[in-house]
Amino acid sequence: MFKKVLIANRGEIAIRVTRACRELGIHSVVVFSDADRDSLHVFLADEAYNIGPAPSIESYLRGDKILEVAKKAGVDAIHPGYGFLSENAEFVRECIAAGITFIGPTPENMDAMGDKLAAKALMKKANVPTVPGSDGSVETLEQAQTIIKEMGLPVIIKASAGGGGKGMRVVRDEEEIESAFRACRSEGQNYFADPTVYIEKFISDPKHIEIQVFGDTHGNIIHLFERECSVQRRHQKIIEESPSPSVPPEVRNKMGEAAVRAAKQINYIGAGTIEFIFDNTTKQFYFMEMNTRLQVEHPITEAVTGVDLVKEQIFVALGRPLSVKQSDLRQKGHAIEVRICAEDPVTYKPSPGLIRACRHPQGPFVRCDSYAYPGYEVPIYYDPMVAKVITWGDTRTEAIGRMERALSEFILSGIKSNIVLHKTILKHPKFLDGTYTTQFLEKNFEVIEPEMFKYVNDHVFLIAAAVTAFNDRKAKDVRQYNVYPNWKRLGRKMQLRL
Amino acid sequence: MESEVTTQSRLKDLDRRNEAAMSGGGASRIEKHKQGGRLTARERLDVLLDPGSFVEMDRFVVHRSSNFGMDKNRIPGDGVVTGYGRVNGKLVYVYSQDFTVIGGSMSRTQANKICKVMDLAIKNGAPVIGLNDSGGARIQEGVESLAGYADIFVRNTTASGVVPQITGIMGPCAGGAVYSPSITDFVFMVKNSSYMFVTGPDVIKTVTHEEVSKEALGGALTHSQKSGVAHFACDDDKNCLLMIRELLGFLPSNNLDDPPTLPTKDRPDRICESLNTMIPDNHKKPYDMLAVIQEVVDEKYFLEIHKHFAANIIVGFARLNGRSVGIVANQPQVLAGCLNIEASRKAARFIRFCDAFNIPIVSFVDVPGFLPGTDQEWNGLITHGAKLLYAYAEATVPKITLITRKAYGGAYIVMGSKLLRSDINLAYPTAEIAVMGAEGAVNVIFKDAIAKAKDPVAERKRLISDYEEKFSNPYISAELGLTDEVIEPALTRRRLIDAVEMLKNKRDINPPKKHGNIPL
Amino acid sequence: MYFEAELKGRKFKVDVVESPRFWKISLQEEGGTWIHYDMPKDDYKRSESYFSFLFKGVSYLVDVVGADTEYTVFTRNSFRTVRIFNDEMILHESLKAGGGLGADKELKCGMPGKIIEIFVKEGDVVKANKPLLIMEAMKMENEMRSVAEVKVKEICVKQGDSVESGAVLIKFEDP
Repeated sequence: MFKKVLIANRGEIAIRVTRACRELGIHSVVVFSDADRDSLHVFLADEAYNIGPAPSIESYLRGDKILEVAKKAGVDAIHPGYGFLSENAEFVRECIAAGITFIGPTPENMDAMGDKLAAKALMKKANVPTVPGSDGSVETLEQAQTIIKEMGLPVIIKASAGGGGKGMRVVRDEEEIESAFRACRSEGQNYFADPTVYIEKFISDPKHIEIQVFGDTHGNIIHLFERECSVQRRHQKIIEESPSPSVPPEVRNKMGEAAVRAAKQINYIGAGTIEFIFDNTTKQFYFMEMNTRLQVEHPITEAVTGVDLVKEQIFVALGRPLSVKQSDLRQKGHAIEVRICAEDPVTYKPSPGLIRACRHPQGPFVRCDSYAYPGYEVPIYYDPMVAKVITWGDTRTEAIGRMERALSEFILSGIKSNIVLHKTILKHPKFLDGTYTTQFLEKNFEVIEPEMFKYVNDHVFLIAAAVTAFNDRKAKDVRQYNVYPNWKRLGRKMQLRL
Repeated sequence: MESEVTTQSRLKDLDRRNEAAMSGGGASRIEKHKQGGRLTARERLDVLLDPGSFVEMDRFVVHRSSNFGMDKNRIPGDGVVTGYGRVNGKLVYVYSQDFTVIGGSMSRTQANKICKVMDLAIKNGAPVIGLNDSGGARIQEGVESLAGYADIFVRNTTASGVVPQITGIMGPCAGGAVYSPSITDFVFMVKNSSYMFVTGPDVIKTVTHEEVSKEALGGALTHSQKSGVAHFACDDDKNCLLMIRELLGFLPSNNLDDPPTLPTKDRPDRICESLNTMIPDNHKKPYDMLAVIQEVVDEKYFLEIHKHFAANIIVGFARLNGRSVGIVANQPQVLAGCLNIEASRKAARFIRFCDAFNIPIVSFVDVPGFLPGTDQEWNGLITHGAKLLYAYAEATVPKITLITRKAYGGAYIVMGSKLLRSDINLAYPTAEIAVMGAEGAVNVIFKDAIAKAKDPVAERKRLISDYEEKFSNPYISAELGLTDEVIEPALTRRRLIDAVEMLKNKRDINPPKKHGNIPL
Repeated sequence: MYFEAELKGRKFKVDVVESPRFWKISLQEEGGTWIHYDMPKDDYKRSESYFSFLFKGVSYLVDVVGADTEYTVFTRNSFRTVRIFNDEMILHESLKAGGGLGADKELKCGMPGKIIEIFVKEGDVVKANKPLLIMEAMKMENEMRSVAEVKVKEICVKQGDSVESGAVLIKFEDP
């Protein structure tokens, strides 16, 4: 067993990994930037080290600083969490060179899946269905136009090195082709230093379904079933559930087997996720990309399969074989996760600031992974997600009901949050019947927005503000100050006959 | 059946009388009065005082004159509403003239009502607020009404410096009536509906043949800009009354009390970063002293008094750590911050008011000197400058002075220097405390050397920069102990609050005298 | 105490009266009727970071953040920003730096002089404390700066103009 592990991350994932370490008797070491001095992950770990100024590029993305701390603290292994350096092959190589185990896939795994075009080619070899499109990069506008003519509109043009919603344009009309092509090339160059683009068919009723895979150093690779993450705002997931209400069991098996084939193709080690686009009309699935790291929404897989994925990552890094076999795994019940972010639910504008009151939901089958606490100042430099609420139920209906109950118990004030957005989505008929696609939020926002303001009568706010304003004005009233005024005192003295 | 007089009917009668008194001069007159956008006497009191706190006195007083058939026109109240109430919980005495009753003109009995209220104010140590809206003396009463005025003036004088007195000119105020407001501490006027003058345009036309309108002669803007009689010129009645409330928030009830403290969330140790870059490098370039003041005080809240008169000096109230302070500051943007007759008068009266009412004085100094010119000299700049010096020297309230840039010669002494019994003297590193500007000094000291030099212009330039380096700084006066501390501008707020807190129990006395002889 | 309030673009009139055992609050939405709430002070509890009150039989844990004329009210994961003010508060705010709601609409010069340089043009939106023009007067170069964030409506002078004391140099409007 590792004696000491350094967690190169922050926020709720740093706490998640710390918890796994604690349970395994591993001494946890965390790093924090200047802005995170009061962050909860610093308190909960065994050792904490400052790695510099607040901007991530000067702290959490500085592999050199992290390795320095790792050597100083004498850790055996580093867990990168998600984001930051978790898919940085160079960092992994540096860890290996320093003799520190990296809890995650190999640098070759990362290289293989980092380039989207190359990944697509590998998937073809592994007989994993991929989205029809240009086989390789599209260099010129003429090429693009020819390919699009063959495939037929609509298509999506994507930057090969892109991700996170950047460097992609949907084209529905012939006139849009040129501008979209140029825009993707320039975004690819500007954001990812690589102007290569490729073209794929755009699926019209798309759902985002991903399969959790796990590989060990003994050649075993398993899948832990699927998660549906179609509720997205601006290409960021906000609600995930497992199992997906739209995937029939045979398709699920096929997807799982395809995912395992994909992982086997690159001899994948550790936790990974194969993301598919799922066409809800034809029930066809197509490979989109592979994330060579642990995902934010891993708790719903844990809830439904009973496997502690972070502990599993640690075991794999120690060289042990996987603790479960594919045949042992079942999906039991239904789990949902919502991501609570410190942002305005209508404009999505981040709302950092001081959290005044905070009480996490509790009770049966409710899990809350969060680093918020009353008096914590949410910094502006990082992701606005402050909490994940995960509920489990015997049935999907029960899980949804529990989530509604949990959200109504959540007390979070002082910062804006998107809790009302989640509450409204969970009531929407398209969510309830499971037919929602990745365009659900965008298409239905007009209906959803006014609902968000119906939970509390406007008069409550007015009364609260009015009484507070009244009390604030009362502070000017001088009667609370004068006890025995000088005027009276001197007057009394002057009256005495001496 | 005979009509019986029962207790019930007596109560009904009281109601009837009250109603009659409340209606003032009658509905049609009130209608006309309000057309000009003005409020009635009682409405003004509703705005001025805390809701429900007004208690009226002498509602049924009527005049006793019978000249010229006046005995047929006896209206209860006799043209003024008097009584007491609260402003933010502070007891105040008020009188509000009612223009709809015989033109609000002053009679013997009206004066009696006002004097009663003022007497109560003096006995109870509470401020007096007068809202003037009157056509002047009631001619029909003759000398009796003049006697009434005199009674009021006497009380204004005896109360001066005992309780704060504020007057709001809400309408006409002419002839003898103007003296009461001018004796009081602060005069508020309302634009376009109030005016004050001793003799009106008609008389002026016959005597000096000048043609001038009422507004131009004595309107709100005239008095707040030209003559300095009015301290505030407000947009309308309501604005005027709300400003009076704001002003009262800074003043104590009487001369024995401290001014009220208003708790603030603005931290006393707040660093004012922007002040480090506020003073321009080129000492010929002006900057806005108002911005400096606002940066330093609580919540950037500064109540400026006499805003449009003598704009080269700024006076007003603000709070430091919740305590109200009076601020006097030179404004380099106007007349280069020089002191002239108007500025001296404006600041001197303000300082004496603060001294009378236990309000600490904080001075921000950037003064190159007194304004030169025959106009100034022949109008007595000497005397008026001396007024300001006298006021500073006589004041025994805590005095804190901060020199931001220039402080030359006599003006340096006048603006609250250490030797005028100022308690804490601070200076910025950009301060230039010297007997005069480098150019002037070099011209005097090195007159011969420059004349004899090969290149007089260059030599003069060299000597000037040499002088500037040696003398145009705060360190010489710091070495002499005339400046207590040279501070980084960003620390201004902290230091001023430290000083104000340290001096809160200051005790200082002047030798006993009936009163001094300030050069008026 | 009488206030006017704005919530999500809707205007309200609010009247709050405190009596020893009750809060009497009346609300009127623009164009609507007055609605009265009598809230017993027992139902209105304050603690350090939040207070709770019973509204129509339902208990609300409310947190109010803010000061002066703007408050953000949080309850049950919903929040609103309420602007609440009355004439006195508006006047009080206007005396603070930045002018509150209504900074000077005109830039006037305090003494006669000559315009040396103008930095802005009509239509510009200028932040607070930014230089607008330089005027030479009394052997000093006067740099005149903006008091608050304003939009330049009209520039009444040009470079090289001689101006009198009190002349209007620039007119502003709200940005």
